[in-house]
Amino acid sequence: MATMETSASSASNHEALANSRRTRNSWLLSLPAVLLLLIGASGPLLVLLVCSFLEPGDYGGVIWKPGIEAWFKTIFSDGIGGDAIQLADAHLLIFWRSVKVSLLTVLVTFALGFPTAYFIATRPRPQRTVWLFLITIPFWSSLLIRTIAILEMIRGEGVINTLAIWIGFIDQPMQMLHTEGAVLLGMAYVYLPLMVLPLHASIERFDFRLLEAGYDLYANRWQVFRRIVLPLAGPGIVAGSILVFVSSLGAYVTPRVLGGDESAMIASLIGYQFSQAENWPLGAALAILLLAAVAIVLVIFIRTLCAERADDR
Amino acid sequence: MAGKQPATAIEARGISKVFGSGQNETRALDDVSMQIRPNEFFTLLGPSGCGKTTLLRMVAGFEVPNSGAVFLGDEDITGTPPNRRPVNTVFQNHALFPHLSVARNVAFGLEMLGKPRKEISDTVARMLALVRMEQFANQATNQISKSQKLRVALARALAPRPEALLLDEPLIALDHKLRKEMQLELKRLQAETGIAFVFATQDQQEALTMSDRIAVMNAGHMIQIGSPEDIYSRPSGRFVASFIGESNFFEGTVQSVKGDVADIRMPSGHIVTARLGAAKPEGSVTFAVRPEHVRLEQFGVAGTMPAKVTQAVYSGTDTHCHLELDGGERLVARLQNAASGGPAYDKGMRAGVRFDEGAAHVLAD
Ligand SMILES: Nc1ncnc2c1ncn2[C@@H]1O[C@H](COP(=O)(O)OP(=O)(O)O)[C@@H](O)[C@H]1O
Ligand SMILES: [Mg+2]
Repeated sequence: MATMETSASSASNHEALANSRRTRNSWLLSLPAVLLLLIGASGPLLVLLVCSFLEPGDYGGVIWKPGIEAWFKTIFSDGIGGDAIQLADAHLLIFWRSVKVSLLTVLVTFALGFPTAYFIATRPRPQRTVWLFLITIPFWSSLLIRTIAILEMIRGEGVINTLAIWIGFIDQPMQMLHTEGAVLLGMAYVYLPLMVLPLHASIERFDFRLLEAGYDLYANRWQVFRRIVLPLAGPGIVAGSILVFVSSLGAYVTPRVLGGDESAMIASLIGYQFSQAENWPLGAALAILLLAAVAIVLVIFIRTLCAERADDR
Repeated sequence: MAGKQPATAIEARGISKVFGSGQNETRALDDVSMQIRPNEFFTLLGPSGCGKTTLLRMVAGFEVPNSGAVFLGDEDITGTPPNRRPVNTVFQNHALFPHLSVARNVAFGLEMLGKPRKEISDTVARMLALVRMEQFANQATNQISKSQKLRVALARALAPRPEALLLDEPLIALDHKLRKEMQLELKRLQAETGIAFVFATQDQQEALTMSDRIAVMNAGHMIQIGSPEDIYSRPSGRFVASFIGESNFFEGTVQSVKGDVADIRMPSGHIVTARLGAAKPEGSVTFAVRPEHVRLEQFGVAGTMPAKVTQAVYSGTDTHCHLELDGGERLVARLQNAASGGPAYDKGMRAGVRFDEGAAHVLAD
């Protein structure tokens, strides 16, 4: 009896020990990734934060002298004389344009992506794989090359203008490059898959019999879409919108190439502060501001969506 | 009650439906007709794949027939889309909207019809009370049990007061006890609302106990339509006689006809008097006798057919006696068990077999 008991308790001891070891081991396993994330994400963020509270060096870099001038300059600019304080119109304009173009990109990719995702999700399974594969093809080439391809289409002597003049629609090339429209076109093209893939994932899980139930209960096509399809696709819409919005707001290459200086977006502005303007603290402050803006938008978006769902109940 | 009620709520006239083409062609419905009266409990009864769902979907508007027409009262609605037919469906899987609460599910049809808010909330409350789900109004539909889901689906489909309610095997997922309970519940709902119910099932017992009329279907054909009593005691053919309840089948030749009964000579030489019904009274025929209409008596009693018990299966309320007549025919007798004592007959015993008067029924095919 006694020996059995000890062996039993030692067995459970063993198990507890093994359990705790397993937990510890799994932590150890994730350690490299966690370290990488800490160093890769928090490290630079910390550097930026510190940097934004220092003074700019004459030729880039920072001087180790604390100050909040950079933060001040994100929104205000000294007047020409040095005493009048004004809003930094250029910055605000670029901020506003960035948010506007990003939201429009979300709208455009949703308008194009939803029918596409719906179409793919309603194909027979083997076909679906092929369509999804086709959707991801643009991801295979570099972002820069794809953007330059669009540049080739819309620039002054580009494909579209040449063709339109040749046909006789216009005599002078249209200014398409370096407009907000050009940036929108490029971003919608580049980020469309980011909208289609999550949408497809949520539409694919649909119980299409629910749509029949909707029609049976006197809903027309639009009502079925608005009252059943959209709410059920909710998670996919949120995921797709967030992915596209966040990517657009921080986009650098596409706005740089297609928007130029005339339609610059916030990432270009940040880049400009770190390079030509040689004002690192201001660049850092702007970067943190961008990050905060993204975070706020995400929270608002998720909040309203949750509220709407609760409303529907 | 000034308005004249039309004689039929729903009518299907000569409906045929073919799915697929060439090699994969399935004839789901073949020249099917039925007339459903207002305020009746009408059951489509048939084995899986016989076309019940297809017929209901045709009435609901989800399928278009290859030929034939669907009428609502006097109006041809064959081409009308589902959202413009005053007919609602309780789907087999209930198809409740997962993003809406119980009450919002029930309100859905009324909202789509653009009813005023007040009327919607009143009707929803009334419907939830009708199906006894008042206290679940604000629950999510994934937090309620299967039979509660069915109740919600019923309330949702009844709320707009359709001309007919279509129910596609709604009880199939329930266990025996809940099933019995919901059968009574459905009967009650039908009686209280006065709406015609068209109920599809594979369960003959369910059909017999619930229906005002039953339509027996097989392989896309409408086999027989009639009251439960009609279907059970006057089956038109072999399929109905064996699908609904159990039957003993015998071959025989007609000897003489007197009115609507005929004397039929079995191969073993015995003469049996059988009801003719719609059958042609000549030549060789098949007739059916229900096991509960077979009586056993002492071997040798006058007027009985000598037989041997080949097997006796006890099943609680009664014993199924498998018998072989001396002429070679086999049959089953269902004998109610007495309050005391063991089974009266056992394997190997000899007995005299007699059919109750009017038990034998000649089949049309
Ligand atoms: N959409 C469809 N495509 C092809 N065949 C179908 C389709 N719907 C039903 N069928 C066929 O039609 C026949 C009747 O089906 P159904 O109406 O579902 O029968 P039940 O509901 O009585 O089980 C079956 O053979 C079935 O395979
Ligand atoms: Mg079915």
